[in-house]
Amino acid sequence: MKRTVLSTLALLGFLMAPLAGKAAAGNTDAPVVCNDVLINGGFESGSAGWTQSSAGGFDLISQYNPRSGAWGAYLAGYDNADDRLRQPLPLPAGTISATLRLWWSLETEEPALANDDLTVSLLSADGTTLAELWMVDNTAPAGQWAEAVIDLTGYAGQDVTLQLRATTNAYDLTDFYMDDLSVLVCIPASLPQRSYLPLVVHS
Amino acid sequence: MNSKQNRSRLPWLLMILALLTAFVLPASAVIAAEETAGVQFSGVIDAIAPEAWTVAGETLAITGDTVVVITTGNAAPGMWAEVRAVREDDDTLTARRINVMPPEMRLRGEATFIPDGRVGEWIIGGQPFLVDEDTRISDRGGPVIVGAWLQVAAVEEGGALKAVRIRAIEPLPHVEVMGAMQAFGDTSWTLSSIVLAADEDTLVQGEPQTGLLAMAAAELQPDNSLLMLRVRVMWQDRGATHPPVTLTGLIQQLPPHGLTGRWMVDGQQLAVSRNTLIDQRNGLAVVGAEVRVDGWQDGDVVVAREIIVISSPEPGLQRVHFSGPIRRLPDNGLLGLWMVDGRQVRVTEQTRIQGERFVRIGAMAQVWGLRNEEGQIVAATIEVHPPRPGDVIITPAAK
Repeated sequence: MKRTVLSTLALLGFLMAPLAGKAAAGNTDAPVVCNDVLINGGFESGSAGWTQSSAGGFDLISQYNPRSGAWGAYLAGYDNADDRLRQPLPLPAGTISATLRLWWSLETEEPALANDDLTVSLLSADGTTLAELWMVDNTAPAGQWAEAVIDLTGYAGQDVTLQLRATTNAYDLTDFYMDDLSVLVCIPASLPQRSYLPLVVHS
Repeated sequence: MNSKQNRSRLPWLLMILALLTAFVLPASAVIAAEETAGVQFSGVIDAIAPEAWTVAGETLAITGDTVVVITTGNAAPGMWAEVRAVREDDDTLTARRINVMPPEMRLRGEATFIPDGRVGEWIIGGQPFLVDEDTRISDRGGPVIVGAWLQVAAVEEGGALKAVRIRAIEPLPHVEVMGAMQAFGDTSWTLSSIVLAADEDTLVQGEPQTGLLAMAAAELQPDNSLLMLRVRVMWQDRGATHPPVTLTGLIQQLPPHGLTGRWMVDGQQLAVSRNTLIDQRNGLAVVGAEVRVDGWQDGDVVVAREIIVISSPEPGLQRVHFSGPIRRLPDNGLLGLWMVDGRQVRVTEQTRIQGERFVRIGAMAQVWGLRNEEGQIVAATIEVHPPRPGDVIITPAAK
């Protein structure tokens, strides 16, 4: 009996495998609304939306090396760095998909060993790390921008904060740059929606 | 085996097949795509057309499967591209992936001139860079002042190098340049308008070709010219005569004196020249140390361009770096105790001395070393500067 059930499941798995991607994306027939829920992901409005802390006391939103526009995030770049940018993320229950996209780049003086890193994580309401989602260290190719795409769907319905954190050791500098972040959240149109107006600060 | 047994195994076979379909086969397909990629290179975009791009003089067929990533800016001739391509049976190249990058050359070197107000021509690593109000300068890694080591990213504009970004870095034993190859020969190369002299000792990894990007390390000469010690052309071809090699292993054997000569690392013989970078920041290069080697295969030997010590039986307790005048030298040869900037420095067979011909009492030297358990500074690298106008040099005979 057990074997029959297993074989039926196996057959189903075999037949359904090509559909797995569609299933994950949700029912495509139902109306879906998608919004970028991240505030000021391009940093063009300065620190709006972001909370920052820097062990070296530096302003982490900087004009030094943006990917686009005039501003970007510049973390680390000094020894014993511990730099963090945080922003609460609204990921409502019932979210069909939530995708974080970010562009990153680095410059380093480190030799072969991985000593300095940049991590993207989600923090829970009490500030503890809920999940480390993505990491890059100083051994990655330097000097060019690359895009990272991270699935956040599994955290829908939880009270989470996005954290971008760079740490370095006591020797040999590494700069981490980030820009053009977005968190695209897709929900059924039937769910109540929160809308976010672009916030632009004019000096 | 009877038919009943066969039937009982069928569900399991189906399950394995389902698992393969869902997980294993897509991964295998990715691996296969990577393996057949064949050629990787970085260079200047010459031309862009719907069905073909030309990068560093190489024509690349563009297909529906080609992924083009605009990392910043837009795709246009003059931009730089990092290319992954497949070499077809007829020797043509089909692009798999093209990353488009801005044409920013980079140089790391010591700043010897910064104009008042910072706007104007700077001299970094002996080379002029134009700095204007748009140049972004970061003091985060240290003060951007004369005497500091700086990293500059610059673009060629109107025959000059216009600095886009400048920041302070920790001092290096050599000037480093990354740029597009505009000329090359036995005695001189030009990377993004920076001229680098070459000689018979210059280590050249890869086949030079105009339009390709290259990374070079060079020694600054008294006249502000640069002598290229080693260069890596950013072209990797699986079918190359001297394929690139990266290996990690333990040092089993070193030359009888110094670090120049034949090494044995994990059974592989290495050719190490005076121009090979030996990075001993994590410990000294002694037998038993773990190292990462980058170079190329030449017959049975790997020619080492860079050797980085990962861990060592002689790790040192603390890294030390300082500079100052040489006040004392050993009586016989260079091995033994030196006095630099008032500090005693032990120079051993593991010490790399750059600018050896400039070694004399009074010459300025930079020391990178490790403090051992006895508190002694063991030099990993000493860079002795050529004399500059106004330097008072006391020759050993006059000591």
